Amino acid sequence: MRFLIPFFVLAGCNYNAPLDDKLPPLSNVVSGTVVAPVSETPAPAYVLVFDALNPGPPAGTGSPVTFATVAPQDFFVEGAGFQAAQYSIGNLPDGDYIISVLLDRDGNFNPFTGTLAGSTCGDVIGGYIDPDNNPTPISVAGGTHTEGVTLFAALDVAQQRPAFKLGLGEPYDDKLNAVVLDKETGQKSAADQLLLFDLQYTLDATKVAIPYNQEDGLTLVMAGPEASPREPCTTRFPLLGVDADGDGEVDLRPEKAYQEAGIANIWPRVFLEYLGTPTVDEDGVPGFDNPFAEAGETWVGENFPFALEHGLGTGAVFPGIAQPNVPTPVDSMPVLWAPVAKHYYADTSQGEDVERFRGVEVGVDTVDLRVPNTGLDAVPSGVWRITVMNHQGQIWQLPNEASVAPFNVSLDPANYDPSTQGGFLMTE
Amino acid sequence: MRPILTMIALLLPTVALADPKDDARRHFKMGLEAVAEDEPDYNTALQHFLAAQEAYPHPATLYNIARTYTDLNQLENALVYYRQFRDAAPDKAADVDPVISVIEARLGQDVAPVVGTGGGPAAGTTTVVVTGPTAEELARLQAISAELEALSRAINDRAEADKAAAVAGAGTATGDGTDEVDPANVGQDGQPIDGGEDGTINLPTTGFLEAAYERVVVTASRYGQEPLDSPSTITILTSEDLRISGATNIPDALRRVVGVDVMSPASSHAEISIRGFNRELNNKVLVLIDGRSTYIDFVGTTFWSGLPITIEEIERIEIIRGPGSAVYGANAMTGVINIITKAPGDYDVNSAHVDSGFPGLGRGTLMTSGTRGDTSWRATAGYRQMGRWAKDYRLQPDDSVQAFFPDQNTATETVRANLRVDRSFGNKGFAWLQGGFSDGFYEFYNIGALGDYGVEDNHTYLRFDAGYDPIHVRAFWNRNDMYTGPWTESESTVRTLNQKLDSDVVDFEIEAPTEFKTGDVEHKFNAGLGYRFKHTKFGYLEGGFRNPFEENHYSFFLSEEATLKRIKGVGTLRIDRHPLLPLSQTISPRLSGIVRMAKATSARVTGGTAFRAPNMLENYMLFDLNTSADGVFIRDYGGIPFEREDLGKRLNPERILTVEAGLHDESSLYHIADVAVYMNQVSGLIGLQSMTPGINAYDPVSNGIEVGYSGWVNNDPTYQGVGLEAETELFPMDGMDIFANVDVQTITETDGNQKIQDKSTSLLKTNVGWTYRTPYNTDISLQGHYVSDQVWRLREFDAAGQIVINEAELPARFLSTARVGVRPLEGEKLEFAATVWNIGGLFSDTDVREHPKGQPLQPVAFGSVDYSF
Repeated sequence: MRFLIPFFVLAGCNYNAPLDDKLPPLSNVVSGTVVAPVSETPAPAYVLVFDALNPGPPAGTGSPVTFATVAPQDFFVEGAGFQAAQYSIGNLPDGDYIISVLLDRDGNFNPFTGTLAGSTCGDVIGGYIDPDNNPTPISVAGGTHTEGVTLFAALDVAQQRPAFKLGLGEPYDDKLNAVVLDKETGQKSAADQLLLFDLQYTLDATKVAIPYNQEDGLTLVMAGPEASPREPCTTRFPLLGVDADGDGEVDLRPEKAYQEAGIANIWPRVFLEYLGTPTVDEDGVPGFDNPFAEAGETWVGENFPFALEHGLGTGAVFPGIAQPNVPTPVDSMPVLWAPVAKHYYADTSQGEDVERFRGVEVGVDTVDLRVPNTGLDAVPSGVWRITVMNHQGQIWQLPNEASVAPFNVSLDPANYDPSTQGGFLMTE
Repeated sequence: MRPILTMIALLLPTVALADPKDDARRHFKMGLEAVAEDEPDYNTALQHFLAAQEAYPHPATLYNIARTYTDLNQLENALVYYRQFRDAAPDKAADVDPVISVIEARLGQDVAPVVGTGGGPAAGTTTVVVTGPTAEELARLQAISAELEALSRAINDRAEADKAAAVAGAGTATGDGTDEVDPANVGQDGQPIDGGEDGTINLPTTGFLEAAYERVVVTASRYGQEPLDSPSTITILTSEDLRISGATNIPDALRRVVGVDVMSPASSHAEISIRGFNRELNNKVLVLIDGRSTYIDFVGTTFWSGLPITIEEIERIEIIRGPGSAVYGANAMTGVINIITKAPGDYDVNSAHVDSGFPGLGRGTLMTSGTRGDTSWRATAGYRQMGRWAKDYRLQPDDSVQAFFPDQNTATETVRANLRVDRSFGNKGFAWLQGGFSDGFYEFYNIGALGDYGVEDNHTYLRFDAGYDPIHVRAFWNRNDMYTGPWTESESTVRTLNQKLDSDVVDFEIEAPTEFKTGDVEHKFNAGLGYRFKHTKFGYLEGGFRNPFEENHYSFFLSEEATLKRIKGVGTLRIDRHPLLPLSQTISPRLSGIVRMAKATSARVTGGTAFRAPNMLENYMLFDLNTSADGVFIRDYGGIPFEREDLGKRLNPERILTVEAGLHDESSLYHIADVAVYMNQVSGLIGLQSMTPGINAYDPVSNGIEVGYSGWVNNDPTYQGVGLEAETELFPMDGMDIFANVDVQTITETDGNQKIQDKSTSLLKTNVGWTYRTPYNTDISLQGHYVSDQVWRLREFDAAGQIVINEAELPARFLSTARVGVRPLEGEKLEFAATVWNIGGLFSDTDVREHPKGQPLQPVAFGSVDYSF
């Protein structure tokens, strides 16, 4: 027995605990410094992380997969008119990410609502960029800590978000507060090389302000004062033709399908997201019945402003785009419905099936503008959320939280008409 | 003669000296039975008393040996043992000195006193021929006789006083499980010790001492009583049980107790529940050390790794199954575990104990104990470290997480020390001062999403007891100085959960137990008052660490035990005045009826209620819980959300109502058995509510956006538990003990019309054990612990912050333990032992977990050295 004692002593001194394989792998961390111009207004910085394959505005319509905050008091002046603060963001699965930063100088950013997400006039935005100011993806894997990722926030946001309401064009259903597009009566447009239908609606810029005060928090003001002291910007659509190659003409859209279709690179963009058919639950709360939602599938699409009136291709003359790369504010924007929609399955792959849901023949996904047999009837009937995005990535959506008394965001009852932000686009 | 006795002692086969009280008890009783017959068989009685003394020395046994030798007219041997008795029980010297004087006189010689309490007997000894005294001797003896009469009167007075003192002190859990020698038995009920008519001296014919090795429990009623008289279902683990089990911590030793659930998510962390409802940071069992609460009031649990106690200083552990609030107030909801330490002076020895082995196990204890005059002391110092069963990551310098402790292989490392000094003041007074600390760190699993945590814990306490018949006062001060946080935390964490914690609890209690008779009814009545002050600062509470919370608690309790022959009725009532709870919710009654169906068989029926008060974390919590997004947090409120008065007060105590019936049997000298059936009704369990979502502006203080709030509420479901518990211990032969127990229980959760079987607690649990203390200085013990499969229903937040029930299955598991100990040296002062716990883990790669989120159990193998000097 005694000879065992040295063994036990040694065992106790040289123990190396085994790894518990049941536990999830380490998540990744990225950290670095946020650098921004010195401002008299202390502002928190939001470090927003997007999946590189699903980037956020303006490169895409993705939402941040996560974000971190940097407190205003953490910034210190670094000289030369800049201030800096350390940031760190974690819980990142292995992958490639685009990291942007937003200094919320007017205190009205909230990533959880369409109405409050994104930059507003007066904010400063930026990100992790290369020398050409293009976003640079960061690759992380294996639970490592990637340090020294510097985020430059240097772009002042000069305009308000493209807030809008649905115009009373044809067809418009006052009862539904919606523009209704009848898929059966749609007719081909003059742009006969494309499957465009003579279905259009109008988006009218509207006045929106989201001032912030310490007592009431965020206050959403619709159709009220033009601007609060902290939002001295008008709300209009900044019409912009992109001339990236410097040839003096508006370029084509960079996406391959759009290039082949000859679609000009015009901002703002108008995106669609299928919400389902309108319902009202037993408590009278409106909602949507989306047969795709349970399966984690989505329908998204894109419509085209001014397309019917002025064509889509290069050389088309758009009012106000006398000079490319210079935004021109416009108050109203005609939008053409095109059966351009993509059906994504839960694994983000595009769908190809038919008769998948409730006997509705969704047909071949309408991903190719030139497919002649793809009609509007291929997309599901129901309500679509409209999202307008300008060239700086600012967005506005209908319907939005303002229509359903959003949580504890207080509203200005004297100036607020919830119906204006409850409008939607519906296909029948 | 002394050389002869010494030689005889050396020639006797040395049986194990390993605290086999059960053998000693059996032999002691068999000796008493032999002398109680119409024609007493003193030779048989002598052999049993000698065997009892060999198995486990006890002063009463020494006295009975001496007494038997006297009856056998072997006065020289009787004298030796009377002197040993006197040396073993110095406080009883005055009781036997007259007897010794008489025998010395009769022997006509002045035999030097024998030192020591053990030693071998003088089985076959010389017959002493007694002749009549001389006139000179007679005169001297007459003087002695006069003195003895005076002493006898003094003894009577003292006996009465000691009876009262025993009642006063029992609530503080004194004693070692065997009654002390009652001096009233010596020279009291026999003939006067004086000269006979024939000129010879009448030898004392006092009765034999019957109180030794008795199983006494104090936890059920706050005073000492036999298990047969306990109104509650109770199990005792003795120091021998602990030693032979090979357990390196108390929870492991408690696995073998019927009705007790032990769940270890980490090697340094164990949760113990009784009759179900186990969870992380379990809060429904009150753990006491010598009657002092170790309940961590601010979080409502017991941190076993932080208790300032070593296994070696434990005399016994009493486990009460069932509500205990009627006796101990809040938080004794499903049971009470009272750890009773060895009384100072009981063991006038120094000892050292060392364990070392796998995984990363190192443990050592030094203890000294002694008595000088009216003062006794015991001092202990201990160290314990334990390796982790598993680690989350092999952390590298550039990894994205930081560890609470740099050493990812060690689960705990603590040092602890205790000092206790007792002093008696005459026959009626005593004082007891004790202090100690435990300092170190350990890993534990926090509730729900908080998961794996570490804590640096400096726990100190000071305790004072004093009594003067019949008043007993007790005061203690518990202090915890802690720093806690996630075991690993992402380096990106904005709102760290690492927080500091200070807690002070001061408790004062006074009681006055009395005994009296009305007609044929014997009464034991006790009444007392209590006060407890709590002061806590904790970073998870509203206002953060700088904002202290204080509470004043008051209590009143009374109990009455009325005995009419074989029937006993016990009524206990305790009323607690909690600063945040209405009085109507803190009244805890208990009623019991006990019938002695035979001398050593009793049946009991008990009904009672208990409650668990919301702890300070549940009441005052306010902290920002991180989400998977660093910029987002959920604000967690306590039940008294001062910041949000609109939420209103939300917490009531958890309550339990239990009715149980039991049968306890010790009718033979070879077994002890107990069977209990019970029904529980549990309501108002406190848990986190679903998040109430909200969209808020950036909070510059918390540096993030609150997406909603949650908090503690009393949940709607009620729980009905039904169970059967049966246990037995068998002592078939000298040196051999066998135990077996089984419990079956079901718990049904009722929420409105929906009933669900709660399988978090196993339907079936059983334990078996076998111990053999061989005649060859070697002990062997085997134990097995089986629990059937479990389905944990984890209340967790989903992505939307709503509480969802996620089921996680744990398969049935069997844990076995083997221990071999050998004592190679004469006197058995040195022991080497080897122990393996979770033997199956040595041969199987299958993970065995005791909590769905816990670490897989490792086998534990270690060697031990124990030395007494």
